[in-house]
Amino acid sequence: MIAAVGYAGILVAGISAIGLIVQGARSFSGTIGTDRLRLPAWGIAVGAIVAMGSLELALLTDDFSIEYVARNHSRDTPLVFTIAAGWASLEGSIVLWGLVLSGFMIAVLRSLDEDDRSGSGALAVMGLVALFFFGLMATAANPFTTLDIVPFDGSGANPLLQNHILMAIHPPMLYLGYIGFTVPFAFAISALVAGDGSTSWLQRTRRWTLIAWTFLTLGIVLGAWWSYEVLGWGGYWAWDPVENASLLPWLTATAFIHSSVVQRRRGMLQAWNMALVISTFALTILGTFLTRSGVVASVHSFTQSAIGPALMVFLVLILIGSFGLFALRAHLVASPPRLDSLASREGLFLLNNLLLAVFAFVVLIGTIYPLVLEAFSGDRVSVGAPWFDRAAIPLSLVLLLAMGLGPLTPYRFAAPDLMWRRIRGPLQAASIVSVGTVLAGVRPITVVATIWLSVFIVSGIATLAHQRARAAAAPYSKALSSLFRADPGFWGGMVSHVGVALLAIGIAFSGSFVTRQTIAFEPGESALFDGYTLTYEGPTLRDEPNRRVIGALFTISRGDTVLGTLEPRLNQYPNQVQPIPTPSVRTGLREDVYLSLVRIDSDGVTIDAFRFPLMWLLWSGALLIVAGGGWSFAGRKRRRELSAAKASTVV
Amino acid sequence: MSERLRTLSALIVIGVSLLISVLVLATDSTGVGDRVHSLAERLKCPICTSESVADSPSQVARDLYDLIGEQVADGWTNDDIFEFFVATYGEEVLLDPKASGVGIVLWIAPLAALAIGGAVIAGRRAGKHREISQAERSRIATALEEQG
Repeated sequence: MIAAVGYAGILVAGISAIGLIVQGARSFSGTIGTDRLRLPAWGIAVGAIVAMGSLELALLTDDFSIEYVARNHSRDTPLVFTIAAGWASLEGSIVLWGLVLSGFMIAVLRSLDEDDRSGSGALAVMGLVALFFFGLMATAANPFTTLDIVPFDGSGANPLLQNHILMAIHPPMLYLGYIGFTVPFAFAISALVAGDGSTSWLQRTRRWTLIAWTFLTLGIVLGAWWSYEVLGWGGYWAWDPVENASLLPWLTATAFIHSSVVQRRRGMLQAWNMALVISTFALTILGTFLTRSGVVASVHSFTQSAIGPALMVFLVLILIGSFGLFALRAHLVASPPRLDSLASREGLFLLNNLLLAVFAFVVLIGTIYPLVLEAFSGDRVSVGAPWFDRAAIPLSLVLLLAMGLGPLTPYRFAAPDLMWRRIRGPLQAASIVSVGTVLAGVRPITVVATIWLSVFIVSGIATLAHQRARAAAAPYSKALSSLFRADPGFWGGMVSHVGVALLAIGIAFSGSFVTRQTIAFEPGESALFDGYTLTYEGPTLRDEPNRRVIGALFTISRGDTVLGTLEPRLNQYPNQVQPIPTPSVRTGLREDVYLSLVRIDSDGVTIDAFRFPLMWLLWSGALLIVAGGGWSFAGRKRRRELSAAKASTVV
Repeated sequence: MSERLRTLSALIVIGVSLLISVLVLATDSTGVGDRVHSLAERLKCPICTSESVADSPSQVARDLYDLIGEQVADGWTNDDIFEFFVATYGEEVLLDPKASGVGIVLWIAPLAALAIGGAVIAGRRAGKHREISQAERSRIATALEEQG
């Protein structure tokens, strides 16, 4: 019963998507008004809600007649993981995709005027994307396939996914980011088809882009945090293909956020911006293909289900369709080149775009070359962290330099004496701090360079805020806070820049000064680890509804002071022989102490102990990046409401 | 403080800091970190999808980690160790592929992308220095006359 209702929801959404494509195209050509788009758009939304709701209901009511429920849920699964099971596995994740996409479509629908050709065209493009995903749900990735023989209990979710609450939040955040880029993509395609060279597509989608970027950033950060706090291998980023899949659209989207500023301010780079938006969207589909088709685990396994090939065909169609359209019509929308000098804010934006595009290209090559090579020649090659690091570190350092100079550089032309007056303060601050760290014994040169660049960025932004606030008529502190409200786009960006600077220091320190040791303990035994004393108190054991938790209790002390206890654990799930480790982390101002359980029996334990300096700086920097993104669209929204309110009082 | 003094003091602060940093870093004799670990980071754990010998929690990886430790202690060079691993597990054990054979693409492609991108931007810049044509000159001249 639930299965039939859910499947009906998918069909309603799919048919409505066809309706939206047709009506969108008619409204785009001017034959009908945009009010006729309301029905099909809401049809998609209602269908998606019914599908997702049915899936959740089936999970909550233990309806094991549905194969998806039987595979991803069991009677013992705790409530939160039962709900999260709705998107934890392939078919469910595509239902969530459809639901989020329909939400974005409704939001676009509500922003349309009565006669809005570019908006109608964009909705038709979104309808096409929706048709693909609901078509996938109706066929190859049907979440409502029923079983003839209904089992009494299901096998439960993948242990890795039900090991921590973060796995319930991380994917929806990432999806909000991924799918949000459909909006600027759709508006860009609509403008290309119309041959509309105005910047309205860019201005209308700026908020969407910022929202999508912010959620994508948050999704990546949560993924890294999960990797660190839950996986227990002692790191947060491994250049794994699945991680790269989320980083790729982030890099091109970050390039777009910057180059769209150039277009708004100086009328340049229209065609390049469209190429970036198309690439970003294509990379989100590539990411879905990489993570959802099983191609990463084995090149030859992805044809086992029809989903892999379907996603691949969709990706190829997007690439051919949008870049084909771009090649034919970009000359209609291209803006004239107006670059006066490379020594200008625009020049630095171009440098930023070049580096981010090359960065994305490097990550793309490193991720897919091994797959392509093996698929076509059978040769195998591995591309791992050392290769990515060698490209990423110099690119990131130059990006940091551009980030430090950019906000201080004027548009059009930066006269040398003006530039010198603006940067000499930050230059001195950076030099003094970095020579201090060198004298304090900080090595190697890459870490010193990171400190130098980070201080340069932060002090540059501080100088800028200080000068603007001092020049204002209002009292200093008031002027400073109104600065952030007056131009949320710019100052939100600056908050993100400070976040990047902190993140860079966190990455450099935790990566360069990590210490690690594998230590074996007998019960009651103590060992020294990098200035700390770890004492193994004994094993712990408890049964939770969905798992058995075997822990090792340690007290950690420094000198005579007991700092606390740590309990690294192994979680044994009934549906998997291999236990899932959960590390235990003590976060401090100086460093994290991180224990991961390797082996435990009655004679004793073996643990991997890590010390990561300044990890809190890494996480708070990352959250500051997200906060800056959030401020730049939230503040913007308020300003628009304000002007709308003003307009209504005038009337 | 006058403008000239500010510039002078800034230059002194930056110059002295740089000088000290360079001198300290250049005469530094701190040893290179943990050689065993950095080697293990560059070798793939043979039974894993993409994890290195250093990162994988599997027993195979731990045994190989110890083996690298013994090889280093026995005085093997890095190349000796890489050669040994390639001979045993094939080229795909290297997480940082060599710049030869099928790995060459991974070295050339990023550099080519950087060069092409840089050339395009430089080209944009050069394209801007367009001489104004004779027709434009006369139009400007007439416009100025009308104004004057």
